[in-house]
Amino acid sequence: MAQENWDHGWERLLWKQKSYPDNFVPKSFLSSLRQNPNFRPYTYLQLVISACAITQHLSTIIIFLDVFARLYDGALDARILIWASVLSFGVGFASASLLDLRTDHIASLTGSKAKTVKSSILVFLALMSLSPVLRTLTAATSSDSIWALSACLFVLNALLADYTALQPELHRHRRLTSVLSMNAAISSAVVLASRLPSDLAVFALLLMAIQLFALFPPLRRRLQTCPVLVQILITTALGGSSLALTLPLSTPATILITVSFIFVTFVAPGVLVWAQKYKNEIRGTWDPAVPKINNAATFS
Amino acid sequence: MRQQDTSTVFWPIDLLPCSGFCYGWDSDPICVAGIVQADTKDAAEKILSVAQNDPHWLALWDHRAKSAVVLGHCSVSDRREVIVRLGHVTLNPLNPGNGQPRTVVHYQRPKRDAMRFYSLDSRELDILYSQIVIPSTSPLYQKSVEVLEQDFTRPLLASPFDNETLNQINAAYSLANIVSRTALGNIENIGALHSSPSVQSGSRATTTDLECNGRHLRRMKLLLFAIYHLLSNLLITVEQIDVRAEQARFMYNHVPAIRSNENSSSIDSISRYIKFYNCVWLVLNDIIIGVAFGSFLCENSLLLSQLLDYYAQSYLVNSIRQGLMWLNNWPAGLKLNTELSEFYCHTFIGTISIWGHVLQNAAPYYPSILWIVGAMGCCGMTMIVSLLSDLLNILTLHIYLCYCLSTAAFSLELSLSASLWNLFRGKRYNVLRNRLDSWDYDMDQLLLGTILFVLVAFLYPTVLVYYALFAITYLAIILVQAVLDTVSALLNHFPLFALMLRVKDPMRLPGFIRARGTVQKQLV
Repeated sequence: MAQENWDHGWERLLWKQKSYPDNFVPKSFLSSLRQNPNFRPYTYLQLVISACAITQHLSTIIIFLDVFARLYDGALDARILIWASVLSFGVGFASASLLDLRTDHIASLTGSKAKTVKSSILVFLALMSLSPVLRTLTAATSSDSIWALSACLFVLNALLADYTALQPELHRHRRLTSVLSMNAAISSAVVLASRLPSDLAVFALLLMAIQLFALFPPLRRRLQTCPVLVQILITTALGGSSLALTLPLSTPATILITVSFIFVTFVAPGVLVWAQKYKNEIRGTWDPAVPKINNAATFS
Repeated sequence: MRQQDTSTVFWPIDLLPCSGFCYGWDSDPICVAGIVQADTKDAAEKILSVAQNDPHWLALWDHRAKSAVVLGHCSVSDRREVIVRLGHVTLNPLNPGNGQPRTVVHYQRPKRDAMRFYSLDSRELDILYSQIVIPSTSPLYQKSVEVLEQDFTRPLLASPFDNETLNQINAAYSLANIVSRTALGNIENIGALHSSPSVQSGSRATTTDLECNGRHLRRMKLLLFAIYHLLSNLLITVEQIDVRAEQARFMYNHVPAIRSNENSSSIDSISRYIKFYNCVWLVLNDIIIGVAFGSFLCENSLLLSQLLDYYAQSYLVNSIRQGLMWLNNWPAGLKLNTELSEFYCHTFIGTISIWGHVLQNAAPYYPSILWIVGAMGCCGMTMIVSLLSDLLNILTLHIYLCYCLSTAAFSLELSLSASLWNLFRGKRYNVLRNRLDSWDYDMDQLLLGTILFVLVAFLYPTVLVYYALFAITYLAIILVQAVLDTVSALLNHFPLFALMLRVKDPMRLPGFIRARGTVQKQLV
């Protein structure tokens, strides 16, 4: 057979006796190669909206540190903080219920409501009894070690936190995907709280830490499914309050935080969009197949 | 009986060569026992069969084993060369040259009446009589041997030695004696030998079973035994009494056997003889040393008790108290948690002070206690040593208590921190699968668990330090007790008799067998 016919009769089978040699490469080779088949290009605005979640999380950390600094100096009364925490717990609970109503998942509410109330009372009482012990926990360690430890744990928390949005259909099967980040934040809070002078201050700080790091992140994830305007409003509120709280304490810190917020929200998405042009994903018929998992809700 | 075509002949080296018929056993290695001077083969066979019916021989030799037969003819030439004709083979056993069809092994016949014998290993002389050894005549042993022989995967030893040959070698001298006596015609003397003793199978049953006439008695017996075992675990003195009682029972059981068996000829009785006299010697040694040391203790009891009181107070009470106070004040720059450290310190100092008071109140009784300990020396040095060990245990009871407390706290802390660390990472230990699984904890579990984890992690150094202090103290006490235990074990079980036999007459103390090749081929 002539060499021109080799292309015509080429098959990707080595066990068949063919006229062409085994190492013959036809022109149609790699015709099934696809470049970037699943490529959906990011848009800048979409990325900015998604980055709002990161900004919200970082601002909660900043707010927490500001409150701690004020408690440490004695500028803030612990009782005010306790009342603020309780109020914010109420507000958060109410908004969570509102969101649930909107997505029509009422059936599981009553059981989980009682469970929530029970666990919150349990945590409240446990914190109250552990506060005296926690106050003198790190009395022997020097302050520098405590600041360093706390900083490491907060960095861990920010890195490992879950910034994705929570699909409303899946919220019943919600799992806490980033246990380690929440645990790191709570440990950091405990370690910082042990520096405070009075039992009540310890209790107040820990209560606020639980609100900010354990109860707020799931709420934030549900809020990410809300319309864009609500998200922008919440982001600006949180960012603004964190900056306002930091300003009286130290100006360089405020400037640093502002710069980092702007970077995270506006500059980083731009960089990501610019880097898209280097994306080169190769897929072909030789890759393992990607299963398409249908959601249970689409089966009717 | 047709002689088998074997390749090894055992020839006794201490046999004076003369002309006659040689006899022995014609099993796989031919074992020659001696030479009988007779004119014809029939006469030799007659003498041999009469000898084997001798009651002394029958007592020594197992009925089921092979009996001896006439093997061949032996003649001495003028040049003092011995020529032996075994069946169709001629060989010179004393100087076997090259090219001989058979391998000749020279062996020395062990003199049975001097209690010498060979053995393949040293298990025959088990000095530790408290071990349970199955005698080789029991049906259990035979059954196990039968079962083991069916195993075709065990390695076959290619040596010509086995138990049968060993028995034959051991019995060769006695057989030669009996045959020569028979040949000299002293048949009536053989019959007048003292009656052979029946082979006593080991010691009597270990537990003296009372005639339990009712369940009441049986229950009380069980209760007594339970208390006895409990006490012997707690107090070393009771254990020592137990050992002594066992020794006494052993000796009592064997006295008639040893006394009547002067001419002991079975391997079992020889080893029992050695055990018995070893036991007797050890006990006598013990009592002598005990009386000496005990009298020393009794005479100086006042001075020794003063010393004891002083050292008990200073080491057992005061130094521990000082150690605890040192730990309380940031020892060696280690920063411990103040509240927890205070709590530990107060608790332990309280315990130790109470014990200090107890010791102070008991101090006037020390002289009489020491005098009693010395008086018990007449029961042996081991009794004194075990009483001293018990006294040490009682005096340091407070340290043991504190050690238990701090160990419990430490182990609890370790297990708690392990499971909380798993919670920190969001994992849980699955007992069914023996592995770590990811697990979806509840929110309140997570929160409380994390707070507790930080708490436990910061309290760890304090707990560790207090545990280390008491662990090291208790270790020192255990070392002293171990030394005392070693001394008492040496006094109880040292094989003095065997050592003396080794020096005096090594042939009575069998070990392994080694053959030395004199001509080209090596045998074993």
